[in-house]
Amino acid sequence: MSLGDVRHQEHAQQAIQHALRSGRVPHAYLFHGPDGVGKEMLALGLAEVLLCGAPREVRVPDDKHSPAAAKPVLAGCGACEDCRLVAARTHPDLHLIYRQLNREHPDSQVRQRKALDLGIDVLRHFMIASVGLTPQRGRRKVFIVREADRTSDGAQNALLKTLEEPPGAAVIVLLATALDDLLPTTVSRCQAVRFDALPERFVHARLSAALPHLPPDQVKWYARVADGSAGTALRDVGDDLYGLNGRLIEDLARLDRLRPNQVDARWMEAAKGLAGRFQERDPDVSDSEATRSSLMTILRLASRWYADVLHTAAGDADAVVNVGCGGELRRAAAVGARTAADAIARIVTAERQLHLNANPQLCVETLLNDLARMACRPDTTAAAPR
Amino acid sequence: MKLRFNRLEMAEALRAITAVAAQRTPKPVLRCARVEAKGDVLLLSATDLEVALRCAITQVEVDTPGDTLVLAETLSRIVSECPDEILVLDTDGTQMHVRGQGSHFRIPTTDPADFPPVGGMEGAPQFTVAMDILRRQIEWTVFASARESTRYAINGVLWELTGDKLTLAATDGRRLSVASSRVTREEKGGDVPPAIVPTKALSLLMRLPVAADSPVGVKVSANQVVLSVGGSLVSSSLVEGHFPKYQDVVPTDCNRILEIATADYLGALKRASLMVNEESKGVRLSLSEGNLTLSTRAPEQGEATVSVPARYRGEPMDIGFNPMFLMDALRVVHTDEVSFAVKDANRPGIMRVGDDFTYVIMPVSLASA
Repeated sequence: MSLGDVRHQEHAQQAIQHALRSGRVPHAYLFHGPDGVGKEMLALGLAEVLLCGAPREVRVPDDKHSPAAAKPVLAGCGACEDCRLVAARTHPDLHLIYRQLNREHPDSQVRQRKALDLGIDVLRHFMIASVGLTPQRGRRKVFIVREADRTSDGAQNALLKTLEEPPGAAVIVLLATALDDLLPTTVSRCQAVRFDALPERFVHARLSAALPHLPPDQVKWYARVADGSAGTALRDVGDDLYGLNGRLIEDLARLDRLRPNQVDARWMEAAKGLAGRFQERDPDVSDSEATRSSLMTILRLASRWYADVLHTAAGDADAVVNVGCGGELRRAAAVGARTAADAIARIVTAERQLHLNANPQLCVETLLNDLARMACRPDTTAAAPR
Repeated sequence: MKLRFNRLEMAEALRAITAVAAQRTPKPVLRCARVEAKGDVLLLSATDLEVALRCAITQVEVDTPGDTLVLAETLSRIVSECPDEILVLDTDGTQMHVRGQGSHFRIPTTDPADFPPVGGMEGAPQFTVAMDILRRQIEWTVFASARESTRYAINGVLWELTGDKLTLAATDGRRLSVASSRVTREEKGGDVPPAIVPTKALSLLMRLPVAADSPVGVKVSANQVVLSVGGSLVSSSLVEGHFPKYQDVVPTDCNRILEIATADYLGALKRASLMVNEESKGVRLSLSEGNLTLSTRAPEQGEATVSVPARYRGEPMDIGFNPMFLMDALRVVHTDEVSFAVKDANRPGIMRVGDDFTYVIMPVSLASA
């Protein structure tokens, strides 16, 4: 995992390269941005170059100005013993910290706990206790904290002193999706580096390279739905969101003719199935959290449908995600652009309600009632010229 | 790899190795021991990324050299459970076979390339010191070091060499323990930088199965300390940071001196501390001609007064201490008598054994005692 492999993160790459070249690497970084856009890749690349005995310059495509031109990037050599150990994740000076580490904690009570957040015991045992020791291989010690925004407040407070002035050669990289979930005292002690969503064509290329057997229309759909996150796209394929989406839009397209309570039973059922898959992937997620994130996924797909309706109504066929459903889209577009936009706003409201811990069943029921009403209502703005 | 080895020697080494190899770790390779056969020696090594241990087994006959990783715990159990005097070990592909009279174990092996390199001693040691002397020094200091303090530098024991005097010092901010000894400096050993050694490495050294008078070779570099004794090599990361200037803390003007039998003092403290709890951790020491009286009081628990004969010169006075801190030191001094000097009730007290052990302890406020 070399620094040169991270693409389309010009801002972050530049900040890191600048620090490396000036020889003043901050003791604590906070990489923040959407999931699956290369935060951990860049952190590992940074670890490699800091631990490598002979970093060298590699030339990578200049994604910002012209991909054909190459620009030099300082990266690990990828050949020495240190780089090999970093790649094998067994480098003695590379420490990955994540909430599931509680399973390796010496205290059996900590081991039996569900790792809903990154707890203080894990942080103390795996990070604070070893940050004060000299590096085994003599260069730096790198700590990468995954999902730092899920660190408990107590653990964040325990880490403050270390974040502020880590002893000697330690470099700490916190990875977070949402800055708001971190204590301001934590954020202010780190150099924050923003990560942006990836371009759709890049996600498309990554997907087709990783999954050569996926049909091209599905690759296109997944790349577009993932909102610039290669990680999300790959996960979505694993969850078969394409299939789920087919069933959802079938309901959405006929919402004006269906009884909403039939639909919401089906949606809750789908959410349950998806939640089960989430929990399989990460057993340390609570039932309610899994249901909530599966519903969020369903709402994300639903709002995509209405975005397509909006694009169709506005005559912008290129932006449509669900390209296979032209007929349904044209029929649904009869309600007009304004209603489609209202529906999206209504879904955003539902997302906010879910985020605030509203009852999922109730939330979906009211949402579908409102959407069904909108589907039957003629668009007033569209009707106005007549 | 194919070799035959003496089971007892191997079992002893593997016990030390399993103490180092991590039981629970996110890096599974750390649960392994590296088994290397080369020349006429078998090397076993393990690391938990803080300390590493390498043991050389000499009672072996190596037919084919080799290098592999196996789960330390598994190999150790096999070797200690077999009754044979000699066991045969060989590897084929991804399996290791251990054969004895009527038994055959087959255990999976892993590629040694992923194992973190275990630092060796490059060149000669900088100085040597006898194991029993070093162990006594460690025993005198290690108990006073801090645990999990965010002042990282005091989470270990300072090693400092001036001339041929090795000084070990440890503190947790409330007490300071300093022990010194004479060592033999090696020619061309060069300068020895001061090093703060984590307590884990020191307790490993205390447990190693080696003779008391074996010389321990020491080499300190910027990021690690390597100790070689017998056929074993212990290497450890160091604690980062600057150890506090402990010399400034040792009082030089304590003119009230108490001399007391260690066993009497320890017994009296144990009894007095029965009436100590979380809220009142202090014991009041009342010094008077020929006598030491200890008194404690814990709310809702009771009071205790214990008197012991002692030689004391100076004005009568009262001073408070945490009895645990006093007992910690008394348990490790191993002398019949200790001397304890104080100046007044709000200045630190100092316990000495000859010139080699100095223990400074901060008093506690008597209002709470």
